[in-house]
Amino acid sequence: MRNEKGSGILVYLELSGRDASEISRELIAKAYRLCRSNQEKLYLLYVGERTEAAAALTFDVPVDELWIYRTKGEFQADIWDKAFEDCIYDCRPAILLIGGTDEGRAIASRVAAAFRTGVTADCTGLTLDENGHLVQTRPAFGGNIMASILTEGSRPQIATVRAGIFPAGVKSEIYTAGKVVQNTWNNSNQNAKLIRIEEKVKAKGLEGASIVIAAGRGIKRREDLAMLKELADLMGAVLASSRALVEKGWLDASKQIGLSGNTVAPEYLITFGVSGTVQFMAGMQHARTIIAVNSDRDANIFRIAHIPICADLYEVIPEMLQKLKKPEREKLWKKI
Amino acid sequence: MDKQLIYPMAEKYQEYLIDESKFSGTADSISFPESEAEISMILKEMKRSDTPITIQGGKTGIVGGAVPLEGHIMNLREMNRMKEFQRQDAANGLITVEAGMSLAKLQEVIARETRKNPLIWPPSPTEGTASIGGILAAAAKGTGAFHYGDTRQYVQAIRLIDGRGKVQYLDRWVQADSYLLDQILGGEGIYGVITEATLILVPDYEEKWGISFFFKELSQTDSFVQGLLAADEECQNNIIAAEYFDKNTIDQIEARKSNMAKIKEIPDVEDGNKHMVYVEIGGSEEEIERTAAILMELAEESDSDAESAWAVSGETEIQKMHAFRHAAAETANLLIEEARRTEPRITKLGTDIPQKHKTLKEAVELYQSDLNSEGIDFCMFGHCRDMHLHVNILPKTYEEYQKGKEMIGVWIKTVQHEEGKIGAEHGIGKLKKKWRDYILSEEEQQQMLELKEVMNPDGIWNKANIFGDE
Amino acid sequence: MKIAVCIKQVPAYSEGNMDEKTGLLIRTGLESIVNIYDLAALETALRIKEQRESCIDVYTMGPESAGQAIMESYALGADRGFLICDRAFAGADVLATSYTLMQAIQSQGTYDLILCGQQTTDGDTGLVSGALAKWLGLPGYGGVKKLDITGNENLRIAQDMGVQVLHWEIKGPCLIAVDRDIYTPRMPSLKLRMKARRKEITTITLQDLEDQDSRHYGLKGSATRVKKIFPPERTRKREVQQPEAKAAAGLILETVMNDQEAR
Repeated sequence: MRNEKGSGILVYLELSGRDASEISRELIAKAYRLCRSNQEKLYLLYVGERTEAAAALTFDVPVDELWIYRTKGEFQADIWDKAFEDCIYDCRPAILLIGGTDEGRAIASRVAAAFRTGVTADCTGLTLDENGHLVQTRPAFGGNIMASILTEGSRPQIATVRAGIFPAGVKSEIYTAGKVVQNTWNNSNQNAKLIRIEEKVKAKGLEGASIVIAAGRGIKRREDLAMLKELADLMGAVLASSRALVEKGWLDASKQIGLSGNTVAPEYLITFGVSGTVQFMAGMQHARTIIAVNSDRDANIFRIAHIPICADLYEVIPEMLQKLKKPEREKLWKKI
Repeated sequence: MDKQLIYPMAEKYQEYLIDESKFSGTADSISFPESEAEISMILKEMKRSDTPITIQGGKTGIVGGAVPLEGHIMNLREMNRMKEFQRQDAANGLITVEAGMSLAKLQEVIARETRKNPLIWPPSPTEGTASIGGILAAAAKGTGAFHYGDTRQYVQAIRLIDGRGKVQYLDRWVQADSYLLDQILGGEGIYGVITEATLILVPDYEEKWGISFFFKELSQTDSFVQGLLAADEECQNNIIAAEYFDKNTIDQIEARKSNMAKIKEIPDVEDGNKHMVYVEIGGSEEEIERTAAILMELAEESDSDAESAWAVSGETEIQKMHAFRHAAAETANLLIEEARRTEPRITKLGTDIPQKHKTLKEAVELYQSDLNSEGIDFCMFGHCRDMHLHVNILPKTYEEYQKGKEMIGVWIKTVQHEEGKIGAEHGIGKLKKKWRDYILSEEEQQQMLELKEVMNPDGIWNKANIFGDE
Repeated sequence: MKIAVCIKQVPAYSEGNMDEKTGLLIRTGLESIVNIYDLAALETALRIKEQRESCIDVYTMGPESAGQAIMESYALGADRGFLICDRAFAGADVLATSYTLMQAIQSQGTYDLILCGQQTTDGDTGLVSGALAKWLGLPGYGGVKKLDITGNENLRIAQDMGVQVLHWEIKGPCLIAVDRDIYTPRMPSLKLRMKARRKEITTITLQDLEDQDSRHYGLKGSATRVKKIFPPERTRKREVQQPEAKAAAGLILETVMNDQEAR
């Protein structure tokens, strides 16, 4: 909608079990903080079958209105978007926040076209400028530059955010929504028939892993890999290797990082006993944070490691395992 | 020496005792000098204790040239800077780099400096982690060898520290230097250590296509290659490379493709296609079109379906095909690595014998019949224009390994008998020493020994390469 | 079947070959290649064509040099190519880009199927295809990993939705955005590459569109604007430390988990 002012923030609410999904909770918390500074309303929108669960939700922050649209069956973008349109025409929010899931992206793009407004996906930062406009920050040009983007003339300003960017609220208070609006949405769609739903088995591949643990020549015996595997499991990481261990036949070639192997760019790469040959580094130099553990102070890998640690992996790993197996630890890993 | 330059051998330096041939040696100490001054200091120390030095770059050689048999290892990985870049005009450029720079880095730097009107350094072995020093010491070439010619032509000058400790600067402008340069290049370090090189750059082609032709029968492949070799001069000038891949090589690559980032998006070759010829052509738009049309016709005449021939263009896609070609050697090496786990005495066994007077069919059948009669696994790939096939014997047992070595011996003798001499793209190093007389004529050996006597009299540098039979 | 495929050029960089300092690709400078997701979309169209009579039209929006992407598509087997090129179209965001594509496609008639790549390799976030579907008034299905044409011109698709894969039977027309894994794109054919040199590319300018109001396109037609750019926060590089094993363990876990208690 061009030249519309709009007021308040509408957040797309998705369920996970009986709770709001992690990403929804993060966006609700963020939206609340933004609303508070503008003194505007916070609206939530749920579209789906599980309307009782949605209506029964409690939140970490005060929510002004909860809009619920009852639909039947699995997500279809060209049905969900119309529910959004209906809701938006009613509450006229200035901002619409949607989780950066496959569903979220599909909805965000359609709603943007419907309202001839701007949409920025995968924002890493959201703030308000002096005029109360939403400043949407995200990486550009392959991640080498950050861009701050404004949707100046049209409303709502739409932004999607991936899970884990903003912190979820801390469950100290319990609020129920101030007002609940329920609708049944007719979504009989002659053109699409759901045949079946397939549960996905999450394969633990190197590609897309956010934490990778790489073992190198410093691992002396094949049996020692067991503790690395355990560490990887506890950290939710994927185990990989330099060429040395693949050459020995201790790990499969699919685990090899390097020029003639795989290229990885995880959030965190932790190397143990990797010396850092040119070939190896060519396969991981773009990891965001590189932690290298090697007992040789002059190891080549220390040149590119952000956190170079000169220590004996045979001492460090057992310490890490011990810390991780303390009961409180396990809870903290669910986020990753 | 206040800074420690020489390190005693320790477990963490184990990887420096072996090169890509998988032949491994021993050493007492190692150094990573950062300058000529440091090299000189280390040399002085080694001379004092009469310790031979083995020079190392990227350790990518396959004849054991960088493998130490005793004494000291001098690894040049820290000497990897670009010293100077000169662009004389659109068609000429010179770049001076330290010898420890990798080929991949060199290509990067050149690409960055010559974005408009790109220049290239033609000798381009497919292994990007090879060092410039190593490439020059072996006078190594790549798939464009036949087209671009000897590596020596693309070297303007070098700096070298010889066995007497003398720092030499040799520039082609000076005639006497030019002769010396050509001797030293390809000398595998037996005269001294190259510390810096000035390389000659030439313009890259306006447009390049990489075309992969597929054949069901060897006879069809042969007729295509023969047609290619007989094509007119204009066409020949546009052919940068012509590489053959046999079915075993193709299968090997496909089996491991998914773990190799650069080539995992290349689709599988259709079943039934048992031979592949990759032809890279370069030139203006018209030249490309003309040459491609000629090749297409040749292919059709040889029963190869031009519709299913792959034709890529643009630098990125061509690099993918280079990576494919590189994977041929890499996967063969991987298979050797696997075999070594159960039989550590196995090393890389590849032939390096150009057979200009044979057709592809004759060359392939020569190798194939011997290997098949012994039931030993192998893969074959290589340059079509000088019929320089690399037959990689892939033994699974020590017996097969020994038989393979014997076979190579027989082939070398046969070829030498037919052609007078055998070439050696990979060098002699330590592993090919017993074939030295087949690779180098008596006169050539004489010249080399004389020069060595002058420049490296005590044989402190790379004592065990080429000469010196233990 | 009348199929439209939308393709885009992206800067070429081989994984791991990116120049950290300039952020640009190492070997190939500023070469542009066709986005691999779009190649997968084109491959999908080509496979459909192998099974039933179809016409594949390729659309790309960009400067004149983007015609190269169409030539590549011809070498792969596309029938007709449309280069959407006009100064008025430059600087478009998701809204303006999708609107322009819609206008261009509609100027050529109706299609049974529109295929796009889900996203690009240069950081584009995959919103254009969804918006395009909405402009065209079509249902859109993203994350498609499998696509078959059933007997009666219906589509059977497998849609990857993160935790689940949904299998649908759809009656066209619709827009499908494919995942790059749907097919390994074929290599261009020599014969087709040679023929491509003789093939025409149709340029679509503002004058060819139904809506010729330039305020709806390009920078003017964009709802978002980049206000500021700045360098990203890079993980700071620290000096080599030599901590005790316990401290080292704590440091690593804290860094990765961002948790004080780990110390």
